[in-house]
Amino acid sequence: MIDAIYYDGINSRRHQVTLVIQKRVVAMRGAGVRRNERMSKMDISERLEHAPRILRFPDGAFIEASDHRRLDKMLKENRFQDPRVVRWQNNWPLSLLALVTLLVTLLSAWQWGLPAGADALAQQLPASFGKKIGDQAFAVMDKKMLAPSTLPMARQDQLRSRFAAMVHPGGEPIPYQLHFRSGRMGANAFALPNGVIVITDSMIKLVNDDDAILGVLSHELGHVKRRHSARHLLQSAGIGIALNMWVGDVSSALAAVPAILLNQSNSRDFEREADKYAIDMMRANHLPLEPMALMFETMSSKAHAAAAEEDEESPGVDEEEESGPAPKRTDSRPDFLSSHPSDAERVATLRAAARAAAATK
Amino acid sequence: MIASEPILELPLDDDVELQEYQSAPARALPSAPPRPVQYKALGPQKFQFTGTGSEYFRIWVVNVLLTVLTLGVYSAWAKVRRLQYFYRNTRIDNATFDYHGKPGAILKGRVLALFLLVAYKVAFELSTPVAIGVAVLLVALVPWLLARSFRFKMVNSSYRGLRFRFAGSAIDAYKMLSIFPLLAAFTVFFGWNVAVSGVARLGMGTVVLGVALVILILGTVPLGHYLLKRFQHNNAYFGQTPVFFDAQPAEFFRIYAKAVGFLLLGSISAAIFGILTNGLFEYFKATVFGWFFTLLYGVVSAYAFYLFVTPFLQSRIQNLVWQHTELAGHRFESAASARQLLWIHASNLLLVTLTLGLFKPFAQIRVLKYRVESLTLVPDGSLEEFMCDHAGDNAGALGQETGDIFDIEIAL
Repeated sequence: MIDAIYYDGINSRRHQVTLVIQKRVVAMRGAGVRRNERMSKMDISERLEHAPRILRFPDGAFIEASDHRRLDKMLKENRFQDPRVVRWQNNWPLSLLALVTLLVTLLSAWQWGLPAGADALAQQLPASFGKKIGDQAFAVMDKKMLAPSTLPMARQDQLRSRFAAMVHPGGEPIPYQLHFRSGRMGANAFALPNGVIVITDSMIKLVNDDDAILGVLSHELGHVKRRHSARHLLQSAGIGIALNMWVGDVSSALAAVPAILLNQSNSRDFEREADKYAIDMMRANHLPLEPMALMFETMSSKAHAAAAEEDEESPGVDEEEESGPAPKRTDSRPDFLSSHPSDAERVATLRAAARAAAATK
Repeated sequence: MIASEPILELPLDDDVELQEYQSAPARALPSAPPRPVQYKALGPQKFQFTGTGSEYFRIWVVNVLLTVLTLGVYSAWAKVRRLQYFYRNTRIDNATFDYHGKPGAILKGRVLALFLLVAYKVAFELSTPVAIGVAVLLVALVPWLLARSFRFKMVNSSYRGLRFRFAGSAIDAYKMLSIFPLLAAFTVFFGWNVAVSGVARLGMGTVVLGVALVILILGTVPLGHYLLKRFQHNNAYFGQTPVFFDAQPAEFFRIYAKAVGFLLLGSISAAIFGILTNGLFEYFKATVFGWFFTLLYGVVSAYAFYLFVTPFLQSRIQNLVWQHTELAGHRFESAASARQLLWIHASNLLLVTLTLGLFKPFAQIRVLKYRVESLTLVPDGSLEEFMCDHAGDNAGALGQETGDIFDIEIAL
């Protein structure tokens, strides 16, 4: 028998009562109040450490019992079991297991689920979606950052026709438009989701080797083919939503910082994917890979020089979407924080592919 | 059922065990004579919050895991568990609150909300006019949703076995919120005017309009906040007993004016801080993590303002609102301090960041505990004489049947 409080649900009066549960029947009595009900008909609230437990009658009246120890014993004797979730919540080891499971789930979702989901969704998106975003971005960039190319028309046409003559690996040719621009972006090339590929004059000047230029363009075509812009957008959105839920009301603004970091590794995977596409395309057209490898080496050493001088514009290859020129590339920055793989890694990949090509010949 | 009447024992027809059991101790029970009940008058009762971070952490972890694994379906159950934890751990005069929302109703509401959101996005992709139409429709629905959401929340809350009730109608909500479209219209008009007159030559008219806009915003937000609180509190019932709210708009204006003053003072001190730490900032900017540091610096300084003004508004408005709320002669007192809240929010922010979000459940409990425990009920007599509202039962059932179509969270 335990002391409890009874409220009849009709007025706010408190009744001191005693409570007994026997043979799965709840019996309650106090001065002038007395009720009996089968335990199965009653709604027994979840157990909380510091709040009374509530045993509710079908008509809404209820008993409030704070003597947890004896009530638990009584309920147990009458074969009452808390729902599984409640037992889980009340148990530290199980909750910590839930925490580990949660972290593993979130990490795998970020590592595999998100890229796969964004990929699947990006392939489903109508072409008009990519066109709309790409057209807008290109218009803005043309207005703000880019200027018409100063490259002679003949040179432009030569590069254009050489690139157009190339076979696209993996079947169907991919629609694209190649644009030459100059402007404040320095040595750069990028692709937009509408199929626009832009290469800057300084990039052409810097590379100064047709095979390497074609390699760069193939890399950009790889971004278009694999819909990297759309996937990048979708992944950012996914990470943003997840982080907002995770950190929630604490601060949405602070969530933006890890969101950018979390998407960097995916963006490096895109670069690797585009590099791979470029290698496939160059090999399908029997073009040498060495010039491209040399280009990365040159850029890497120039970037070091630029970093030493501090204020000189560093060359960056290959920004996709409106993310602007590649951040200063000093290879001392850890891979984790960078949006591109290290030059050393890319050179190694290219050389390995060249060796493999030589071996198969 | 009247409590002072002797209760008839209704034998449950087929349950022999029960009969046997009842017969024995029943004799020991004296038959209570009907007598007039005199209740002792109560002194001021502090609100108590008995929830703890460590207990809530476990509930939170399981909630989040199951929500993730069920792709969000469990979130409705999670919400009920969370609110039950908060309500059942809140007590005055040794009696707790309780939450009765049904996960099914909440889930229905969330599915519909998601559906409308997707519909809106699709409409936006299809054509701009359709999207604008859908957006206008959604905006037009907001007051109705607000009334429904308050109603759902109140009817599913109880104290001492009596449900709360919300009688505010959608029409009242429309009347109240109609000042905001006016503000929007004025803003559009202002924007258009600036665009026409040209930014290059700032005429006297533009300046006047700009000042007018600032005044209008400063004038509308406190007024809107007042109207919202009045709508919320003045239409609430505890059982049959109505809640009264008698704050004046002027008091809201005073608090907001102070907040704006703090913002100005804050920006001056922030500027001084910025000048003083400029060297340090440049030093960090030059390191490898420069870009990251710049970003962090911007976010943190933007957040600092939010951090400083929120506790002030939160505490002062809470104090104001509760000091002007009355329930059948019972009054409330609220003594939330901006400084305490600032400390709680700032330390929470730090700990949540350091623990990558794992401190969040503890943080929530800390804020809630402080805000709840700053409230006191000053009873007029006893709390034993409230009656439930029988008509209210129907509203409750209806509320649950239709569900809360949009489960908008509006902080009290």
